[in-house]
Amino acid sequence: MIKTAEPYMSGFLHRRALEKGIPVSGTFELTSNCNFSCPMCYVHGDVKRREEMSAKEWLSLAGQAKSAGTLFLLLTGGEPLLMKDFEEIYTGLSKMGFMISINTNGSLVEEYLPVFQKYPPSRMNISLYAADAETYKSFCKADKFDKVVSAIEMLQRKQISVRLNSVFTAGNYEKAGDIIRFAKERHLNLKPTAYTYPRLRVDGKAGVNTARLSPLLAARCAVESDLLRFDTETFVRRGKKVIERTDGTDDAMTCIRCRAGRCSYWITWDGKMRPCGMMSEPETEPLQVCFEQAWAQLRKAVAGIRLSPECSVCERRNSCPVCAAMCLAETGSFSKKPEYICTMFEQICNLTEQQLMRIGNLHEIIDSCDDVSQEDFCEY
Amino acid sequence: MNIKKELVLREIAGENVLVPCGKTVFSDNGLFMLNEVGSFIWKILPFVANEDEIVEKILAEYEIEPEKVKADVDNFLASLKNLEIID
Repeated sequence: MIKTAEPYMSGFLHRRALEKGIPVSGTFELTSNCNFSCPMCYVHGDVKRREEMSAKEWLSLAGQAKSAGTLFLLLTGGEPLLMKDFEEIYTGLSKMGFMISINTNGSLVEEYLPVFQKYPPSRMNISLYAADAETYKSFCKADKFDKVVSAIEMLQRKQISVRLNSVFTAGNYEKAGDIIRFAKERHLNLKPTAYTYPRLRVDGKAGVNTARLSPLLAARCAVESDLLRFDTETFVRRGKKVIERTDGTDDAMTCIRCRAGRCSYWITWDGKMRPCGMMSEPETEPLQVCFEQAWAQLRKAVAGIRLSPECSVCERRNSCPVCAAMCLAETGSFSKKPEYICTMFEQICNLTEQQLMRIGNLHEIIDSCDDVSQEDFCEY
Repeated sequence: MNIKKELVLREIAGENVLVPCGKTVFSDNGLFMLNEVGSFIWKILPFVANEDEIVEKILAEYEIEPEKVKADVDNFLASLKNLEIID
């Protein structure tokens, strides 16, 4: 009669919402402003087309989103805690019955701690791009490392769920291992990525982000960070899936397969509804029409998007991370093959294969040396 | 019966979901899914004095064997007590 629903229930509800076309998951990008200047940011520096939305406008949209079936809500920016009416928006949303997560750089968390204690978010996602004060300052252009670490510790003490988000780029990839160790030592979940989107929303240029790694280096960084993050068994299990090849053709590959515009949406700081924050199009106008109409228009536009036919015959298609947002940001078109992603993923597969062979060989040696402890060979 | 925590019963993608809100938070960010009878009980909970009254109202609404209703209601209320939602 009552079934406790752990986080896996989120996956279940998303699948049901996907079948029915219900916008179960939304992101409110409250502001494009930030007190940091990270070099790869996809939104800070966005061209100002209007004033930021007011608390009243956000809460009105949220009410309509709730009626349309939104349960999971992510507040992001820029830096959302910089928004002048953040407290009013956040407490208003908290009372409405959403599962709220917040993306933040963490530098202003301490000021809002009483609010988060009173209305605990489902999770705080804190961006952490370095694990030492010097690299942090040079990367984010903000001398806030100690303050952010202190905020993380305060949240943990208050038993508020924290996850670290990190992006490995030219300015910090050599310290990626330190970030992974920082998370491990503090028993924090870390979501890292070595792929950085072009800044299409900021400068209008597809395929360009001067701060990011080359595709080959991004691949190396991705595999090396997985080796550090996971134990050998987990790495092998994941790795085997990564290198899987598939024959034939899958026409469904030319349609959007993720949740974007099918059961999730993103509202930009200036009130446009998009399938996801990494896409500059399609967009609809929930402030001009109503939320429900904007959602219906967005779903229709997304259903009409077709991706590269080359992806539908690619033997890597089932494990490749390519998505519509990547195609658009890399090539300026949904239907073109994003070469950066192809090169990066092929290299991820090559390096993963090498690691799987090395691990396999180690196990053969271990099996033939009864007197040697397995731990003697474990590098992770 | 007195509900001690702030929870909202919402229909999400056709499922009845009990969502913590305001000050309420459960471990692992839990949500709760209720079936049809569970939702019915949740809705009448503030207006009934005891378990017998709940069973009576369910029997008036649904064609279910009384013994089964009693066992299910026991189970449901025990879950709510465990989560400190009711006394």
